[in-house]
Amino acid sequence: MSFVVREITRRAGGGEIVRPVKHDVPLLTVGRAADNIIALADLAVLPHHATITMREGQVHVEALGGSPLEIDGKFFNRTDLDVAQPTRITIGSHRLTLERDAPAGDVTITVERVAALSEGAQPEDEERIFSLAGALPGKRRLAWGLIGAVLALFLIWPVAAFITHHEQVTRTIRADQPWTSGPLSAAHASLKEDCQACHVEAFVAVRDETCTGCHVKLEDHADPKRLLAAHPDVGLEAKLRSTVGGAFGLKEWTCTGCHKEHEGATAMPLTAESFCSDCHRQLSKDLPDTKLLDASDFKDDHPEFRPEIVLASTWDGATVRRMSLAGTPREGSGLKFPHRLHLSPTGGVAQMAQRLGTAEGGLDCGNCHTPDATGVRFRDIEMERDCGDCHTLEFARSGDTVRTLRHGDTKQVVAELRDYYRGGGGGFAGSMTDRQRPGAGAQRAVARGSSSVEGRIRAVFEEGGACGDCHIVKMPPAGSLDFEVSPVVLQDRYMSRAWFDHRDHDTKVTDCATCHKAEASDRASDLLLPGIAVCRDCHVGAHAEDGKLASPCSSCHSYHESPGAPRVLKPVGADRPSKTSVIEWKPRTGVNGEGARPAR
Amino acid sequence: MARGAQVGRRQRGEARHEGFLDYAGRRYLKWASAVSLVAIFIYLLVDVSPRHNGGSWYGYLLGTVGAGLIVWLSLLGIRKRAMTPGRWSLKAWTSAHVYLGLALIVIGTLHTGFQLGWNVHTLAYGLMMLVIASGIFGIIAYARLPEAMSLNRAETTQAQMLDTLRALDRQLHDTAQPLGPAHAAVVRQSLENCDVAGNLYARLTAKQPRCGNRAALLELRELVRQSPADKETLGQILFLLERKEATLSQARRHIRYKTLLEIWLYVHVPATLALIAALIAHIVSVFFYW
Repeated sequence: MSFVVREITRRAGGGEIVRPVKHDVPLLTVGRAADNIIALADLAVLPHHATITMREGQVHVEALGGSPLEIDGKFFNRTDLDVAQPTRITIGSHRLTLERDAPAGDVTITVERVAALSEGAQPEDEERIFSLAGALPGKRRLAWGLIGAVLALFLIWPVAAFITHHEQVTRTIRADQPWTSGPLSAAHASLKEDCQACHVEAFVAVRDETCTGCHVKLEDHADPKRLLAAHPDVGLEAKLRSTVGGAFGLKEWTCTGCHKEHEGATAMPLTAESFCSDCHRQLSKDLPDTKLLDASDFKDDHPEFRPEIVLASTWDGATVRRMSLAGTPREGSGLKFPHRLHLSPTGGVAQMAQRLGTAEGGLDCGNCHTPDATGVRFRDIEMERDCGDCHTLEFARSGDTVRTLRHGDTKQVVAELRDYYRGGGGGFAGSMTDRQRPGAGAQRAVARGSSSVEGRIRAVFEEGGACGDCHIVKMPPAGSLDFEVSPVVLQDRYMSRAWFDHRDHDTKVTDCATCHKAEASDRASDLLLPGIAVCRDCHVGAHAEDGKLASPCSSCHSYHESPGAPRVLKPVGADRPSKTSVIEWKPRTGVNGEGARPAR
Repeated sequence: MARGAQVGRRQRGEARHEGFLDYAGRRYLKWASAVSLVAIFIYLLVDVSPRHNGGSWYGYLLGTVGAGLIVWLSLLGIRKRAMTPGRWSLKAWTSAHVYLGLALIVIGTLHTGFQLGWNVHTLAYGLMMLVIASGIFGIIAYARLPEAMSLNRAETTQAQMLDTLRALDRQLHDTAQPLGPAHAAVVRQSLENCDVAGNLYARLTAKQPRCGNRAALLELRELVRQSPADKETLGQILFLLERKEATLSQARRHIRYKTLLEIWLYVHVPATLALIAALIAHIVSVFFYW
């Protein structure tokens, strides 16, 4: 019984060389040192690594260097081996396979290197080492992956969501959000979760019906036929744009033609000035029957204002006409009212105002004219409230009872006075107080010796009397008390086609007299409206210049006719109070509601 | 004499290789500059309402031109597989590819009207800029690296570098046989824990601080300093480790240059195809929600 050691060496070109050597010794030494019977050129092996002995046919192995031997996957420092079956001992990069040869009883030990001597690169690794293909996934795979991801996320998913979209379903992540070309304007911010509120049909541009589904009260600028007729030929660029746009289904004269969305979460951008001036610059030429005058720029090309002026007023109705301020038109309100007299700081009015404690140093505009609730304009003048402090209609007192004439009812006034004088009443209003007020003329009539009741009543209506002081009265023939007082019609808004906001012209900063020359006006027929030249002191055209305010058309005019303010772009950072908006709209019922959505 | 010198210069010039950047007196650089300047000029000149973006008439025009350019530029990937000489040569095509690709920066950016956001439109723009940036990187790499690479390689082939390393490993292994277990373990680090290329970062930096060869070299130097035993063998091993270190450095620098020459294509090509996908999504989405 002896050991047969079979050393296997692999050849470079493939194949192996086996050298069997028989050792008739009971003990084999294994190690890296040359004096071992089994010498392994392996740096992972100790110089004297292990011994293999045979005693009475029994094979015994023992580790020498303290590092256990790996035998068939288990670790031993020393052990007996049953080598009837092949037994593998792993030492470093080498493997020893022990097996008993049945007929002779010899133990064969096959020695072979099972791992390369170094981890160093082999020739076939050249491509892997020197090219990036060894470190990164292939370009083609990367490209296909990216194409798939982009198309799936940004095309297929949104389109699928659109097709399967149920209006009542609210999603937290909306597939079509990445399609937005920019934030919606502040006015439409509530629609940002619902692209299909406006983009109703795929590949169809946003339609007017969609807008008017919510904006129910918008007026057309004019009859569409007249709009087309007025639209001038605006050149090659516009023609080209219209042709190409038309080919892609973009119509002209739609809401979206002027109102551009997705331009940022602020107010919607204003429509360009040229939008107005393209037509209005030469409207008289393109639309000969128009009543409108040409205008293209507030500073350089805008007609004088043409306010609506009350020319005459009768009980059957007033004659109101738009007239240019250039012709110094006169107003026929039916009232006698000298502004100069009332605003003089030194005259009788001033003295009375001081006596009554109404105003120091004379009246100012605010004593009679009070702003309306919005502050945009002024309340209508009411005689009792705005004039009555001085122009009292009190005419007699008995005890604590003060008799007052009823303003606006001639017959009642005549009846009251007749009863009073027939009942023995004397004097007139002025005499019951110490104050010398307007209307004291009646008192003078008494003093003149007119002692008849008729005479005294006539005196009230006459020039200088309580009524005749302010009103135009047609006196009846003698014997009749049928006085005819002309009706008073005061214009409450002179320029209904344009917007003027008194709040923007704060009287704390700008004196009323800057624009309204009331101190120099002696007659009620004087129209105290400022002309365009006064406005141009501060306002210029669409672009600011010389420190003057930029005033595009939309500062005063709205495209969609409305009694409210036109939409003016809120200047960034400006502290501007929010105004009554002309954008009237019907609220939608919920984000995904059906209320305002036109049927698809 | 002067004439002779001139002739000599011209002859040298004729012999010199004309790259795609200098092709035809930089004809396409001139074209691209002209296109860019005209685009900028019109952008400043026209008054579009309410402001410049992809949705104005000029925006659509620039978008159409840009999309056409992108498609044409990406066709180089197909065109380059067929090399032809002359006016429509691959070199001419590549020259135009580079310069018109750069013009796309102007056209694409003006198309956005500088309005960017988190959406598919800006995704397409971002991918386009990524493709262009990687292309610029590629041009710089192609212009500067081959010379450095050639100097580093010094007539050695890649296979020779690997052969040298393998031979050194074998010598190290054989020389270390008489060593005791402690010293052998140090040498084994160089044999068993030494990757030439490494991961992407290692390839880009040509640095592998944890390389086993370096560790073995440092530790063995220290061991030799401490004890005089086995001086001759250890000295020999140190010499081998140092040679291996030098060969590794050279190979790794070579890998770094090759990586830099290749890596931009790993961005340029997949990003181009992703860009085309994003472009399709961008255009479809615009018309879908028209």
